[in-house]
Amino acid sequence: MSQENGSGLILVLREQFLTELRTVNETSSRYGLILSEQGMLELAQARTRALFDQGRVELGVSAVKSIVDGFCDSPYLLQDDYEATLLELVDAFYYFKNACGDQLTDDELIQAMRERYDAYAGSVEAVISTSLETMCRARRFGLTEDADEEDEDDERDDK
Amino acid sequence: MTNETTSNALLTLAPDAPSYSENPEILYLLLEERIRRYTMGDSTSVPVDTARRLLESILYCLDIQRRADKNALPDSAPMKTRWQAGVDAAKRTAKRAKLLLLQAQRTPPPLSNTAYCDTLTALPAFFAGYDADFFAQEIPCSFDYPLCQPVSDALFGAEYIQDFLRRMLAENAFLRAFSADALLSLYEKYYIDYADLLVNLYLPAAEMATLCALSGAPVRALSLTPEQLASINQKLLSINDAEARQRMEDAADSALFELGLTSDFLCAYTKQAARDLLVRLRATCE
Repeated sequence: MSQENGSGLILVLREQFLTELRTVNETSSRYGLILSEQGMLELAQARTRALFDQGRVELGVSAVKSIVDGFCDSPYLLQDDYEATLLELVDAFYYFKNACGDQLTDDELIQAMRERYDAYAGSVEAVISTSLETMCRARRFGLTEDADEEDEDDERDDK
Repeated sequence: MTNETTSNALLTLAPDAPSYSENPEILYLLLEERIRRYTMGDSTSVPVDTARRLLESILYCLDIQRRADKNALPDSAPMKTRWQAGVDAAKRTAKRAKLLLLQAQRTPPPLSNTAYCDTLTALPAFFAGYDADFFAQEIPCSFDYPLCQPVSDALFGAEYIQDFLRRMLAENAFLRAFSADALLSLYEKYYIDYADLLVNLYLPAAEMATLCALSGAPVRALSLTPEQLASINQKLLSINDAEARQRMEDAADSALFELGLTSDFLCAYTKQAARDLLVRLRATCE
């Protein structure tokens, strides 16, 4: 396999990913959210870096599209911090994907992240800093933010 | 590896796999399809290790097809067709290997040891876990019986197991030509604890049978006096390497003839054991 072929393929893949992101705008624009060309390039880099950091491989359709689709109708996601939020969500997604040992599907994980995001009034920090267990438990049992915290308090009291 | 190449690093991840000149773009598409099938569409990404295993499986199946089905499909045939033919070939090999396992279970040697029994018990797990569609190159079981002449490291998956069983069956066939008493007496002299040590059962019998044939003693007895052994040693040292090697091979042939064993594979296997013995005898004397 020549290096030349490999490099050519990488460029093709990057272009494919950018094309995919452009189609994402069609959906998100309905909610007033648009990714700029610069934002797309940054997202492409963030995705590549996240995959590298988490030791994962993604070929073909990217989960980034699903992440955008899963979050774009959140009332807490605004154009001002849209691109920055996406970058962090992409990082968190691949981190959690490894953390769950691939036991959650992409859609389940995105749904769990979204619920956490909304429960904490659009706090990406809340999504990133939570544990996978907490996030899944909250999703499975439909716990609210308060109930979730109460549970954690109870656990601490028990100790 | 730079960040830029990360998600495509797989294209160069399998340096040991036979790559020939597969088109990387088509290979990429095939890998993408395999990942999609593997995750059943639930996930767009997989850990690097999983992707590497899937890629190795693709390359391995292409290689099997190239070796096994040379006339049926030319290299110019679509990669997916060749890969599918490789998967089918791997499945056929696994089926043939399963028959060999059944044969090995039906025809045990007169005496066995723990490693042998554990291996025979462990091997069915291979057939339960072997997945030619995704991981054709893998051996999903663990066994440790040491064959006299181990399987080549170049073999993988069902091919490895098939060759392992072929060798094990040849060894069994040889051992079944002897009585349990003769073997027990030999093992007790050869190994401290043949039953529990990780040792091969065929090697002592093959060597002693060759030496018996060399000295003109009855092969089935598997026994020589110290004087007979010394005499053989002297005889082998007094001739040059080529001649000694020929005598050992002839002796292995005679032993097999006396035992009524005619398999070409077993003949080559026993001759190799005889040649290895000669090397050790000469090294000891030097």
